[in-house]
Amino acid sequence: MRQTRPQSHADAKAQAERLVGTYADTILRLSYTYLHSTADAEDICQTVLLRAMTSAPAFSGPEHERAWIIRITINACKDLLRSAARRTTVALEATGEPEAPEESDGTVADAVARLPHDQREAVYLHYYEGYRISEIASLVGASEAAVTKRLSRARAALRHMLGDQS
Amino acid sequence: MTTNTTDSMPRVDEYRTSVDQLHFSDEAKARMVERLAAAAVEDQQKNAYVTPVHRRRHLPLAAAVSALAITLALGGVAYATGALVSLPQFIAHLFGNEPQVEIVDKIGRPVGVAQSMSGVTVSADAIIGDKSNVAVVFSVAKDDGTPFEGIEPLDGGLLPVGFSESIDVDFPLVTKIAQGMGATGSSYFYDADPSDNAIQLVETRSYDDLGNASLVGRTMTARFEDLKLYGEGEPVVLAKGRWSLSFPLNYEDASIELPIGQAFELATFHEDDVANTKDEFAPIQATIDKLSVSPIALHLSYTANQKAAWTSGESGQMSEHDSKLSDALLGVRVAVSLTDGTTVEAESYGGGAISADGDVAHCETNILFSQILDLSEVASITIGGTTIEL
Repeated sequence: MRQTRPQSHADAKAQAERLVGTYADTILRLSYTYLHSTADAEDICQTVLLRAMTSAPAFSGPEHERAWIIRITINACKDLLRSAARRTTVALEATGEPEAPEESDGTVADAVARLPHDQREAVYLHYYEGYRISEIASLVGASEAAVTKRLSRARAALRHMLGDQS
Repeated sequence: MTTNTTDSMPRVDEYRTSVDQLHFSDEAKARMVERLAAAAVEDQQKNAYVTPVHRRRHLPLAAAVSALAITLALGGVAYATGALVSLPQFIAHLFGNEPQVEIVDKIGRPVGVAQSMSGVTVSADAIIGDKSNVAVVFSVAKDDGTPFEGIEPLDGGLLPVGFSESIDVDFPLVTKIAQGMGATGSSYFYDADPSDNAIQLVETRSYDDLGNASLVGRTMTARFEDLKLYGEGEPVVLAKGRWSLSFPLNYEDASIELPIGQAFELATFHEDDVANTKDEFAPIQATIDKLSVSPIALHLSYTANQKAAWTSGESGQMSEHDSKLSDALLGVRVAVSLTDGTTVEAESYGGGAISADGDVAHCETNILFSQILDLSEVASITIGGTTIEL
């Protein structure tokens, strides 16, 4: 139960390289799941990973660290969504210009994107990240019953939108 | 990570493939790495200078230990040219007009521990600490006698240079395993005298759960590789090579034991978790079982009135509950009041050890100060709202 803060600049860079290499794409994907946009993804990534470098708790292992990163990312996305000052433009130099998948009608990505926030969240965490329902409940602060219901509704909606192809 | 579910999602493989395609470019990742490293160092620097106390009387740790090294060089340690500060001058500078030689007497001096490589000599010059915490100052000196050039100090005086490094203490393996021991620490470069050929590296390490073991008398091995200057663009290699120094931590434990048995309240550590943590755990009351303070750190053991009921399952992933519980149990904030009316604040940064024991939890943490304290000038220490007079 301990954490190590960045030490020299070399240590800080090495830690930043590890965190970016391990989690940047996960944060981008999770941010996109919430925000339906990649415009703020790099800012969120910077915010989350800087917290990981400067004020994270001690991690009991890689899975603990990953869960913490995901939870903080979810909080950051929800804060952004709630913010009345939601930015409508982002300076070009501040964006990561990530390579977002093309959206088109009829794709499963498009169908998932049309789901409500809480269902998109559950689908991503369960079907992409591989978390169990109980784990998702802990990550998002919901009951297991609520997560189960969200997944069930999401599957039903996707079957409807995708013509019941499974 | 694999998914096991009896309820299938339509075209789930296509979904995963589409998500896989969403990624940052290599350029974006490289940009983030540079920004993060710079921001983390800046954050660390701010924390190192967070408390506006009288600089003249209480130097930042980096400056104070470096000054100690220079002072001790008068005792025969040849490591740097340039102006040396006399012992009386140093003491007067560090502690005002009333010399506190007791602290200086407790400094360890690893005489003759140095290694030269690529025209640069790294030497271990001074050690101060206690049973669980240690600060070591190294000097990094150019053998040609000229100053390092092109290094502009950051705000606060730290230098944007760094080694790749590893620091190890030769605790017996049985101690490491039995205590689950690990270190928290920091390191930073400082230039005690910009006109000379040396810069100073201060390494601090705290060990949370040493049990009856002590740092004093153990051997520290410090390995450094490639001194680099960081700034815009790629780092510049100032000195290429590997330096390895082993030396005994022969210093006198400068800590003093304080009265115990007081009740105090734990603080939450993560701002985002304050509301949720308080809902679940606060207010957590605790009782001090062991308390000692040294010029560089406070060591605290306490019993928290909170059952450490861990919920993490077989997956090994720490649950939301456990993460919050860990943060709540180790949330210690300290304010050290000095006789001149100033206050030095510090916190645990979430590091420490927790042992579940029925309905309570036994916790231990080290809180490293950002400055060397003259304990004779400490009036009281406030831990979680409870003030302990010295």
